[in-house]
Amino acid sequence: MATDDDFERFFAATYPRLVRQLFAVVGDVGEAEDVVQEAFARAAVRWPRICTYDDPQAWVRRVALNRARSNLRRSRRALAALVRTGPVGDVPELSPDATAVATAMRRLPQRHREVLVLYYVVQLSVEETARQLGIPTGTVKSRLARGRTALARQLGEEREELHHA
Amino acid sequence: MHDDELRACLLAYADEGGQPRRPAPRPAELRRRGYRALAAATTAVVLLVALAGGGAAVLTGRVSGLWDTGVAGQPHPATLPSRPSGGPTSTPGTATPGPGTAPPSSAPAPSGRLTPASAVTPTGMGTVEFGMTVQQAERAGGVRLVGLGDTSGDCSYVVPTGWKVRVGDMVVDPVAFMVSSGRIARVDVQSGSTPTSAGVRIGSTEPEVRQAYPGRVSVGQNLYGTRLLTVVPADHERAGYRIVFASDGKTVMYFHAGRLPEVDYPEGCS
Repeated sequence: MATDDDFERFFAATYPRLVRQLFAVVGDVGEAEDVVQEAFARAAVRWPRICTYDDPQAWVRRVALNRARSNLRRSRRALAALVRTGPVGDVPELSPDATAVATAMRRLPQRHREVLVLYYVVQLSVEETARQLGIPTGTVKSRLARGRTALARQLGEEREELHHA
Repeated sequence: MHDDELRACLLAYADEGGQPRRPAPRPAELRRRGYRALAAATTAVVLLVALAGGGAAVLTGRVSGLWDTGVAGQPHPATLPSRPSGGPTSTPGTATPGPGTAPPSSAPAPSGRLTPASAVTPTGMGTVEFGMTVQQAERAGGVRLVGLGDTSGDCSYVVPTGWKVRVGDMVVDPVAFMVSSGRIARVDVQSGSTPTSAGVRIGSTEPEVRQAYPGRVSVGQNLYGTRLLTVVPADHERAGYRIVFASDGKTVMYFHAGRLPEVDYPEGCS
């Protein structure tokens, strides 16, 4: 039987982790908090059903990722080219290494960032990543390969620039 | 750069930058936000339905009907705009017409007109075909389709007006159409007795599904562990379409049909 206490325990145990994961995708901690909170608000009113799932956290993560994707589409419509070339949003002071990763990640398409984060940060398998995103495993593999190559190259360039600076 | 190094970079980045900066909301506040969003979506639908119906009497009937059943204040998942494929929404056979609703779904469908008794196929429902715009679907089906919840994104849901049914103490939309990039992409049957063209409906048993679609049923599960029986059309022309039945292991709880990839979305649009 689902109870409010169950939801509160679930929220307390998973909220910081999901914000961290969504931050890695969207690159903006304020936006990550917004989409994760929105996903939890939706989970709260569906808790009797969601608590029966094998992995309720996957449900919240998926809703948050979808929300982030919708936000990106709205941003695209509103800001067009500024999405990729504009200033980094609500990002706290970061170390040079983390700044290099933030800049490199921001240059990747969101679909590649999602796969990279689910695979490397959340540490899902290729199959689990495919299930989480609702896409074929072949698509995950190709996005992973392209994202990995692009990120490694851009990270190398970013570090070189930082080194010269 | 090696995989391990890349993983370490990303983990360090997430740890360093991804610490929440605002205090976490209290769960009670999250619940309030969730209910507020749902109440707003429900109210918007009620107003749209009332405007489409064109009368204060309709508005009064719909609003009082919803409030009497507590839908606006304490919505059940079955009333949610984006939950079409998440879980069971009704007990088969318990759905009855709600206030101001259309005739029972067992009523015969007039030729060409979309009703809850129209059959679902891999490529559409009744005279409504996947790929139509909402306006084309309205003309083809002779129904009004109104938006459900947030319709500002690329993916949203529309429901036929006047089809609401009462399930227990709730009023729900038994059928909802997903609109993706401006086109009808999928139909979700959440309650009632809408059949597929092979005669399967909510409450049908798994053997009945296999008998209706011999050799074309594959079994899997969605992200959340719900058992899914997926029917792949026999002919190549309809290879990009599916009917998906969600089962509790014995009987069909709800089902949806549509084109790929939308038919495989596990949580409707979200």
